[in-house]
Amino acid sequence: MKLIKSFLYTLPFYLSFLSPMILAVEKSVIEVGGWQYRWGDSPVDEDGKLTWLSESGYDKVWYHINKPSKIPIIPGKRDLWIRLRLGNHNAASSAIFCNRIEKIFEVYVDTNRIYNFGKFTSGEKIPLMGFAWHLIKLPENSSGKTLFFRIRSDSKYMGVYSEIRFGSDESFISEIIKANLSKTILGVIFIFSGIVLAITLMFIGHFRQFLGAIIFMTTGGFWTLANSNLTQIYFYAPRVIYYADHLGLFASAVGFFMLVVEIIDPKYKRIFTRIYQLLIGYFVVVLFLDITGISDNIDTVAPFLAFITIAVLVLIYFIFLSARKGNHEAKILLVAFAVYALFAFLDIINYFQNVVVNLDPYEMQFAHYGGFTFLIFIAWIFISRYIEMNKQMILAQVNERTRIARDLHDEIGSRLTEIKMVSESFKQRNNLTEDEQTKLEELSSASDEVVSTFGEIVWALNPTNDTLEEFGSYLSQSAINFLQKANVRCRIDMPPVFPETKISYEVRRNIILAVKESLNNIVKHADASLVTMQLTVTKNDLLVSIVDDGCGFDSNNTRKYGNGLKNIERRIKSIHGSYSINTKINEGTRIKMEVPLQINNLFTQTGYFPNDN
Amino acid sequence: MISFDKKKKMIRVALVEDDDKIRNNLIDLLEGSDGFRCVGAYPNAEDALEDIPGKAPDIVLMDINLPGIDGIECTQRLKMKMPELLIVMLTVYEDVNKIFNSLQAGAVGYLLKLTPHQELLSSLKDVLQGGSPMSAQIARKVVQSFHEEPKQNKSGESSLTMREEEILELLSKGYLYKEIASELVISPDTVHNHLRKIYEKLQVHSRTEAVVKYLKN
Repeated sequence: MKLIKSFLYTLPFYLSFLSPMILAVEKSVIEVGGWQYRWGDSPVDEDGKLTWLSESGYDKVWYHINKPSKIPIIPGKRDLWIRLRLGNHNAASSAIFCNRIEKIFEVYVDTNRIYNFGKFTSGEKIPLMGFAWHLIKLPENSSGKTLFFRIRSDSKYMGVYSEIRFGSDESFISEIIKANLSKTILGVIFIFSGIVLAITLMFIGHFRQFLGAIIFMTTGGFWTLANSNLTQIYFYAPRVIYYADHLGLFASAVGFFMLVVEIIDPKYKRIFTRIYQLLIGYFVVVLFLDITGISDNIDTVAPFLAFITIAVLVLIYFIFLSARKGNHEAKILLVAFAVYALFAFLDIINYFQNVVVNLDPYEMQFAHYGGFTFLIFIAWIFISRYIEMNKQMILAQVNERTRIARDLHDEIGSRLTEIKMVSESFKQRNNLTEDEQTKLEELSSASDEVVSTFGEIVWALNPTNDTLEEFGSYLSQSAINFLQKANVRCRIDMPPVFPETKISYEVRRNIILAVKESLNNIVKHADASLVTMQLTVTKNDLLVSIVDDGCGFDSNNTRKYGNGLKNIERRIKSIHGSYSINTKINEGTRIKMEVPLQINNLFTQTGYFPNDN
Repeated sequence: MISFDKKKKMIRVALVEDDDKIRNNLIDLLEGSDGFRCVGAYPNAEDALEDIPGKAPDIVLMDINLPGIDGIECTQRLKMKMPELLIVMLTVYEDVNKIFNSLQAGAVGYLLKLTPHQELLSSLKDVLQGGSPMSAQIARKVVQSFHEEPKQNKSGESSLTMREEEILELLSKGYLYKEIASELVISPDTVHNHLRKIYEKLQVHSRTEAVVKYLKN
């Protein structure tokens, strides 16, 4: 039930994930066939011009291919040329768009270079430039001319990874925005919540326990942003984006494992700690190889992905085992995995149906949203765990305070008893003056009072006394004791058994003090011979009524009792109850207090020594 | 001979109290008062359990909170050895649950440590004469404990009679002993007798309850 409820609450959020579907743009751009390619680099003529640019005709040296992304890869080759004769329709396009083209490239229309990314230098090792999409403006009147791509890379796999498409630059930009807006926002939310969480936890503690969540959120956010083509419009830094993409994926995977380790059965904790330690090791090695330039295989995430897949499958199995044992959190995690699988499934459908929801067909679109829902489930687990922890902390505090109060009380009680005993034995002497007698009397009554007040506090502090039953019988007994001393008859009317409702410290203390004050008023002013106190419990309220047969008073003229009555009213109001007093001269007084029992929440229970003023 | 007679009338009291000063003070009080004798004073339950059976006191004053074996368990063990022994609990403040547990263990009453000396001595005399003080709160607890496991034991020995229930109900409603007596048209002494009987039944009841619980487990 709880699961369904929280799913419904977050439903609008999930629905917002469908926005890329609604916003999805069918390929509005023209795709062209008739591409040609050839491996190697062009020789240079005497004028320093690339000869392949002027080689006319579609001769045998060039191979035909319909899509540049389908060029067969030959490992070890570092240079590649592709060309296309521009016809009327595609030459009318104002721009070409290509995503994920390799490291260094130049674009020519006939012999005019119209675009370059990186610099061609001979012999040197090619620095890694990273992925980026390129929006290249075509010169006007290009019809009949030839478009050339000169590409170079040291990477194992090279070439053009996605289609080179023709269209207007406005349409490309709007497509990028539509397809990537929600993902970009997600990325920002990820990073933002990660930072907020980190700062919050630094202040309230538990930083270590939630470290995995912080890493997962922040780096996952960077990964998502790096995968958003929108980022590049405002933040053109291919290398940063490249690192954010790859390292972000690593780090968020590590964070994810760290986080799940905190959730699953402690029995499996060790194996998963090993897994994420392995991940960190792999991560460090790859980063080292990349920075030192020994290898640029950092983008070869295949072994990493395989490792992660196996680890996640094992993880799901262990979570399943935990869930079967009745671990509530493991159940939530399983649901999270199911939701994630649903999103991944959407990606797969998209891939096979070739619906362009992103300009990059290789891109996993929904996986990011899946990751985000995962985060929500995990946040749910941690929040409920935090609340539970808080509860237990409060409980521990209660126990500790009770213990301290009791110890203090026992100690002080014993000492006060001594004082009392000594003064008692002094009283037996006959040679005391009247003054000494009174002083002794004062001493012993003072210790009496202190001990009984202590008893009250210890009683109220004791968490086992927070039931209606304990409260009711305690309240009655103190009324009986008080009235017996004042020589007023007392009758108690309460149900033989109270419902097993809890009643908070605050409510208990305020009712006890309000009743005390009322009884005090009766004894002082009412001249009553009988007081009846009635306790009733309705569905939500506790009713206390105190009726006396005393002289009553003019309810329009309460000045004499003003402060006391106001005190009672203030106390009852502070616990959200109502208070009424009904009286006429010579007809006794009827006091009614009605206090709700259900408002005592987590927070009121923490107020252990509330200010009584 | 005279001294022998005098000794016979003496109320023999044993003390179990861990606080040295309070214990010594109580010894002084008892020894200094006519009609009382302190036959033993022990700082802990272990010593008391060993020594008290040999001393055969009339009344034992037992602190509830003791180091090691507490006063409640000590009461239970002493009652097993000496069923006729009268044990009165000593407590700093009225912790109703602990007092109730003591009564279940076989105590016949309790006294606050702060009770003025004369009152304390007269209470001890009352106990010896069959008095069994019971507060409204305790009365309510007694009723509830007898109702919790209804008719566990139909032998009658551990279930309350109508009269006893009546008395407990009036007590829990705030009636004083004399008010109960006039309400039920009986003498105050009869009220006391009933209460003593109730205490005995409470002990038996709690013992059978414990046995039932033990057998269930």
